Amino acid sequence: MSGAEFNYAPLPGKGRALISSFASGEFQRLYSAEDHLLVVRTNYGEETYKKFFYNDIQAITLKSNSDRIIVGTFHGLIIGFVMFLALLVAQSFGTDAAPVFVVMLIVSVLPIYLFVKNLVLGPTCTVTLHTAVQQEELTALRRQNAALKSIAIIDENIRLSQGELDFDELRRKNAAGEEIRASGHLPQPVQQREITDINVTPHAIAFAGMLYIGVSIFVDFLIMEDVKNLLDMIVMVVSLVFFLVAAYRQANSTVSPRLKLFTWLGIANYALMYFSAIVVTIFLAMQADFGTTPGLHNPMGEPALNWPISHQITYGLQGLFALTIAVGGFMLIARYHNRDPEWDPVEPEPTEADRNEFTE
Amino acid sequence: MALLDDWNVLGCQRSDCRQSTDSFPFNDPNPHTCETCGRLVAVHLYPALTREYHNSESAAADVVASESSCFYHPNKSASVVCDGCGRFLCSLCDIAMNERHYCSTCIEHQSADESNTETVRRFVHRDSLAFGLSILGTFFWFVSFVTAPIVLYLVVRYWRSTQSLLTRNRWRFVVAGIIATLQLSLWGLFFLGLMA
Repeated sequence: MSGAEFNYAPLPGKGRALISSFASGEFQRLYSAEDHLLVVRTNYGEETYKKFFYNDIQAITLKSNSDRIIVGTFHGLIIGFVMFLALLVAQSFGTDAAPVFVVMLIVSVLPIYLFVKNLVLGPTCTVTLHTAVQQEELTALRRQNAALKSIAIIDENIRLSQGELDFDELRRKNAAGEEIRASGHLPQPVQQREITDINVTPHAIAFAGMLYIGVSIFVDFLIMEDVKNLLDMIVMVVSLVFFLVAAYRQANSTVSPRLKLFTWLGIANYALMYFSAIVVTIFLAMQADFGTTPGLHNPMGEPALNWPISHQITYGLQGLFALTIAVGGFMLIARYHNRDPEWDPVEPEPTEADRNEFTE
Repeated sequence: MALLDDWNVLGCQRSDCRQSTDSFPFNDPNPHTCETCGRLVAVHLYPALTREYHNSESAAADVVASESSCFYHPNKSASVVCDGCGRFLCSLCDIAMNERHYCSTCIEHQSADESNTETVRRFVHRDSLAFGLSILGTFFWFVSFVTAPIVLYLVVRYWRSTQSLLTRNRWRFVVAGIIATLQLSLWGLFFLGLMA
C-alpha cells in the first residue's frame, strides 16, 4: 500500500506547538529518507508533507525555551485548584462529600498525568531548520533529549550529502558580506523585535506588595482584625495593578525571561487568591445555617489557627507561594540592576590582526 | 562575523544579543550557553550556506533570432520541453525530477494527484473518516441508516488507494466495514420485522 516503498525511518520526537496548534489540532512527526527529511503534519485526518532535501539544508539551530516551566505551572495550578476544591468540599460536607471527592479525583488524573509526563520528558527547546529560501520550525523536536538525538541523525545525513563545511571559506564570504548582501542571495533574516531597557520600579512595587501579602497571611494565623483585612485588600489590588503594568512593560524589554516568568507567577498567584476567596464565599452562601451547625466553622473573622486544617494548609501554601515569588522577584530585579559591567562587558577595539583575519 | 550576524544564525530574537558568532562553537553536538539570555543554543552549519546561487536575472540565456523562446519568459531562450504539457521552458522554469522535466504548472497539478507519490503534498485519511463515521453510527444508532452506506462506499471506493506516504495498514477500513455491515443488517432485520 505504502510506506515500505519509500523507506522512511521515523526520527525521535513528535508533538505540536505549545499553544498555536491546539486549535488546529496539528501534530508533527519527522521521517528520514535517503536524500531528504520528511516533515509530516497530521491535522484532523489530513496528512500534509514537506520535504527538505539534505543537499539544500544550510543550518539547524536549537535553542532552549521556557515551555516546560509554563506548561508545568499551568498543570500545577489546575491540580492545585482541584485539590483545593476537594479539600473544601470534604471539609464542608464531611462524609457526604465522598462522591464529589471521587469525581474530583478522576478529573485531576489527566492534569496529574500531563504534569508528570512534562517533567519526565525533560527540558524544551525550539529547533529551526534553515534553507536558502525558508526557515521551518520543527515542532516535533520540542524536547531537548529527542531533538539532540534527531539532529545527530539529520546531521550525519547532511554531512554524507554535502560534506564538511569549510569554515575558512565561510569566513572569506563573511568578510565579503557587503557583496553577498548586495547580490540578494542571503536567506531572509529572522525578524527581530526592538528590545529596550526599562525601569523596573513597577516590578519592585508589585513584588513588595506580594511580600507584604505573604507575611500578612502568616500574621493572619495569629491575628485577624477588620482593619488589617481592609489594608490587605488595598495592597492586593494595588500590587496586582502594578504587576499588570510590569507585565505590559516587560514584553519587549531586556528584562530576563526568569523575571518575566516571576511577574506572571505573581499575577497567577493573585488570580488564585481571588478565585479561592470567591469559591469560599460561594460555599459559605450555599450553607444557609452556617455558623449554627455544630462542627462547621466560619473561616473568616477569627485567627487562621482556629480554622479547619484543610483551610489552614491551603492558606499557608498561598502564603509560602507569595513569599517565594516576592523573594525570587527581588533577587532577579537586583540582578537586572547590577548587570553592568558583568552583563554588559565593553567590547575591546579590534586589533590589526583581527581585521586581517577575514581579509587574508 | 557580519554575514552570520545579519542572518541571525543563532536564532536569537533579541536585538540586544551579545553572543558573538566569532566565538560561538558551531557544529558542536553539545549545546552552548548563550552569553546574553543564558539559554542553551546549538547551531550546525553546512556547505550549502556558502553555495553560490544563480542570480534570477541572468540564469537563463536571452533569446536570439530564430531560437525558440520560453513559454513563460518570451525573452529567454528555451532549453527543454516540459514532459507534462509539452511547453518550451527556459532554465529558470525547468524543474527536473527523476530525469524528466516539468514546468511549475504541471508540478502544481501533480501535487494534487494522490497517485503520484513523488509530488503529492497531502493525503486525506479516508480510512479514519470511515472509522469515525462507523463509531458515530454506533453511538447514535438513528443516524447509522445514513452513515453505514457512506462508510461502505468509502471502504469499497478507496480500499486500494494510497492513504499515506508512510506505512499505514487497512485495519480502520476493516473495522469500519464490519461495523457498517452489522448496522445495515440490523436495519434490514428491523424493516423485515415491521413488514412481517
